[in-house]
Amino acid sequence: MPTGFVPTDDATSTTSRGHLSPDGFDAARRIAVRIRNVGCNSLSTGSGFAIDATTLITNRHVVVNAAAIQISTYDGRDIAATAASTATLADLAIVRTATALPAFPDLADRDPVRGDAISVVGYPMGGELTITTGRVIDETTDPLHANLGEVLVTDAQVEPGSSGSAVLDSDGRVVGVVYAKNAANQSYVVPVSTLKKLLADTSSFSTAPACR
Amino acid sequence: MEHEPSPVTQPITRVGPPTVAFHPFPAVAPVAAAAPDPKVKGHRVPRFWIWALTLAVAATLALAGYLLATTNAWQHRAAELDRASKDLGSQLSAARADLQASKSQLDSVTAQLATAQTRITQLADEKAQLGDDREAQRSLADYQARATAAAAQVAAAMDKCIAGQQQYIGYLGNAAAYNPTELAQFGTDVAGYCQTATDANASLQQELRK
Repeated sequence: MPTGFVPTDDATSTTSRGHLSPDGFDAARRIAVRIRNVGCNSLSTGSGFAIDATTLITNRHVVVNAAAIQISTYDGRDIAATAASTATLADLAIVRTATALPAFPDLADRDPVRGDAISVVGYPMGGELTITTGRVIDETTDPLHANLGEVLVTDAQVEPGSSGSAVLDSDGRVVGVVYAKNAANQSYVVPVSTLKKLLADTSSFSTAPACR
Repeated sequence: MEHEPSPVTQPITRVGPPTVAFHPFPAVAPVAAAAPDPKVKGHRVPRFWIWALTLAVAATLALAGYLLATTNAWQHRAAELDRASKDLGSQLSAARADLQASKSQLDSVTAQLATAQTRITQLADEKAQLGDDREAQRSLADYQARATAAAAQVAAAMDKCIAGQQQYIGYLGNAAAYNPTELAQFGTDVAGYCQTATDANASLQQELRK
């Protein structure tokens, strides 16, 4: 009896786990956080994303003048913030958390170039977690003069509340941070090279000013 | 064996017993060619061919036996293969049915997962909005508490102002009994205090209008 004609190798799985987590949410959503800035006489929301287990990145203007910073994850869990630091040369801030964040992505090795596809994951208008897609369409100097060096312009639609959103490339790596938009619905992005440069220099961040 | 035809290269010669000639005609001298050839004593097949033929027959029989056995073996194997293929066919059919069922379950679970994810996202958003409302209400409550405290302070200051003014009016009604300089100073102090209270009230009103 021939017995060798039945293949012994396992069939290749047709489904891929990809970036899926045990709860089925993809990594892009799991890295995102919603940030609530409770001021002395104000309340505002923004977005952010984890870069390691207890550190997240957002915009400076999201966390300044706060009496309290409140963070929640994609699945509604509250994470306590322990400290917030802001950069002086870019609209970026670091927030430390007391407990571990669900997931954190890799930072890309290079900035995206014109034509590259990107995704923006954040909380526009302080609403539901949303992913929008687009492409890098230009590089320019910061029209708000809040960032040193060039910033990226994309056609991914963002809204107030999207500030601090992670900009991801097609491999799910962070290539920038959303910080503004213009009247033509184009979004401005701090490139990952600027983020990495500032993260490498601890003196570039100082304690975020609180409200009085 | 001696009657076997000789090779075609040999002349054909009858070697049986001589027959009696019967001729209705007068006897004639026998034809010389009909006389037996003294050179041909019997047409014998070479021994080599006998052995060859024997071997060929034996080989043929052996081959036939071998082929018969092989055929039987192949028939047996073919029957086994047929049973195995039918068994595999049944297993394949069952596996396909299982696969189809699994795919259906997977589709169902995938749909449920998507629904659950959407609901989780919605619940997270609802919780966040409630949190925003809670903080807004807390901020409003803090503001109202501060406004109430400020209003109470302003009211107390206005009461104190009124009391001072009433006291000053009383003093003025019996001014001769008091030192004019001290009376004037009292009046100035009361007016200053009332102005402070009035300013605080104006500030409060302005704050409340925001």
